[in-house]
Amino acid sequence: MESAGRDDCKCSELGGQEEDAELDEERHPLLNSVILRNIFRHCKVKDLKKLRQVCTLWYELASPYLQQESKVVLQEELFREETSIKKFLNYVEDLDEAEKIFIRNFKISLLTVARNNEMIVKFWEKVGPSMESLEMSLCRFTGVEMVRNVMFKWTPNLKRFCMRDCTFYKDVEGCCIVENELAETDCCVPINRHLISLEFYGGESRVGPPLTWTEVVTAFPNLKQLLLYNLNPKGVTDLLTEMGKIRNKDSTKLNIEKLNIFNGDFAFGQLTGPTAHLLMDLKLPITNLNMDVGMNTSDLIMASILKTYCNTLRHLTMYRGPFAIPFIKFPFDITFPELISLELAESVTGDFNFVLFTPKLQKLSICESPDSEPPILPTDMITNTEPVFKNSLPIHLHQLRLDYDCSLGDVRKLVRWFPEIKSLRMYLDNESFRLVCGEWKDLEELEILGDKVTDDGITGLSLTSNSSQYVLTKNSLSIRSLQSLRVFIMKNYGMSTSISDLSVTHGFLLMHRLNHLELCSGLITDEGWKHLRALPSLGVLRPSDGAWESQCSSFSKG
Amino acid sequence: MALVRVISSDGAAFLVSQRLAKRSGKLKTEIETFRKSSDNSEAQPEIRIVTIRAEILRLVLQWLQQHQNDPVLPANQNEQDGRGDAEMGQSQWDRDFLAPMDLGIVMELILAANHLEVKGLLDITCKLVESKITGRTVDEIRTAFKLKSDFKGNEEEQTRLENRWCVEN
Repeated sequence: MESAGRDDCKCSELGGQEEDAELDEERHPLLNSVILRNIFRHCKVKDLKKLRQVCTLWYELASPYLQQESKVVLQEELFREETSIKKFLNYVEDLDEAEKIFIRNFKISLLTVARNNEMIVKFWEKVGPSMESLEMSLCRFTGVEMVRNVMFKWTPNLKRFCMRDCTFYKDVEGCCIVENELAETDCCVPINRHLISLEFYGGESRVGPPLTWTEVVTAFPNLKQLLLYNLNPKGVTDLLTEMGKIRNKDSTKLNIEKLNIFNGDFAFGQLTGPTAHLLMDLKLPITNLNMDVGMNTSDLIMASILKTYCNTLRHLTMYRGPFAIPFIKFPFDITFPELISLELAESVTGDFNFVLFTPKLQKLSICESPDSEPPILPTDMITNTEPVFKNSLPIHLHQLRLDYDCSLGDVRKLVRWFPEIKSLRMYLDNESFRLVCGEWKDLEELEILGDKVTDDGITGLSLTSNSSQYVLTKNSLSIRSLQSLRVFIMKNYGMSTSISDLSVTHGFLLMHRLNHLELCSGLITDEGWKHLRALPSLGVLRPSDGAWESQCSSFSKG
Repeated sequence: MALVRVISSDGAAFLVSQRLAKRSGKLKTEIETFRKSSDNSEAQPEIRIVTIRAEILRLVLQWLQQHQNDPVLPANQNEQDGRGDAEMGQSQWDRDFLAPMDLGIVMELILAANHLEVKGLLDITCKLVESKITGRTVDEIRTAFKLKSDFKGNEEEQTRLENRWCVEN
């Protein structure tokens, strides 16, 4: 155990006047690997890059964190001779051996992977074995063989693979491969036991790689995370069938813990009995489940799926189709003993009573699908909840995201039910904002949606007319009541809110712990933005939504 | 109340409740080992920490006392799963606790928190040192902390070339 004596630890950094003699290398605290590892694991890429240049010990200790936290971004640039891929290839060709390639994570965009492109084949043969994580985005593959090469042959050490919105062609001159047009299964593809995460984004064409699921899941037997977005439902059913066959033979294979399925168009559909049974029969150790449950899926089928996985689930996200009828009595009297976060979109449930079945729930999000309006609760969830909550114990929820308009009475109930909230996102007006400031005093993160909170609410100051003169009244509750607040965000669908320099001077500038501020307001002057920018505690200052970016981007930081 | 004697490397003894001591992973293991090996269930365990001197041990116990009602964070807790974030968990008391310490004491506290398996204290002390290191140039770090470059040949240039390709993941 390394222990540094008190006198050995003096550094010029703090003492200022300490001895000039060189510190004993063995006892210098910043040459102690236990201390350094604990510090470096918190550091960001830009800092790690500097830290590994200090000395060889720091290089050795900081490099693995940099390898883990950073990636190289390469893309084919149209009409340019010297592309980033070519430059990277030149760089690695100057190295002595292939093992010396330092970078492990790669993001490659707009690349055409074709057999007749020698430079590209050379790139893959040289760099592929170093890759541990690969994301291919908007790439074109010509010939199924090229897909197999990238997924299985050229990248034997991949741990994470993601394919996003790619297109596939039959051969160099051939036409585009369409949905469900799959190549015959190749039973001889090399098996990669390192791969634990696979992500496919089908994009608008809803097309995944033109390989059968038999081939894919056979090649990656140790998958732990399988995330599929916008793939056609038939493909997902085929996948479940193939997984079932493999797990029936050997239940140690494909122990998926994180699963995202039925995403995309499926919200409009229906999860049928046979498909649900395929999912249930797999008996996976799922901790994270993210799925569209379909607008017509029955309560019975949903209950059966949840019952199968209730004991292991820690994170659950459920999307119901728009205009669907909420499930009756969700979560069907099933307890989720380990569930930490729950996200429900559209009409999954008609009330909040489900939290009585989630004793460890810390994060709750009730949301619309992104960018949709208006933010009106699909059913009156809060009113429906009252009778059951009356005598129950407080729920230990830390984070609440409620993307719907609530009345003052609604907020009053939420404050009573969830007294330990530290992070909040919801639509508020001045009155409900004051209530939040008075009741959730320990808030550390607050995101206000809409434009109903004004300078009056933020500052607590308001001018009222008293017969012929104006009187300044001061409300004791304002943003200053939230002395633990670190993050404050206001968003209004890209439009300006009405807060002005008054909120800056009498609000934000007096919040000494505020570290992150995002505002959308055309009424804050250059002077106001300058004052905010000069606030030393503020690490991040930026316009939310971007509509006002042209006016204030010069003042943003972080 | 069941007590335990914790003795520092320089011989100072601290009598603390077992409930409090067990918030340190290391002390918890030591107390349980003592229980298993002792015939007398009433006997008071005595634990000698040969690597931590009294001034530092006192600070660790003071921090544990202040945080005795916090949930215990597992050493490998995934930050996304809960309140593992050091910044999120840092209170005004923590800031006041660390404020008067010089870097040497903070370094010793990191070693002690690591040895005694007190994750919350380890997180806030490391964050503090990190804040003093980051944001500086390589030369500024070397000068401020009296560290010397010991790279050979073109190693430093090689590192700079590698860095050029790395962006935030």
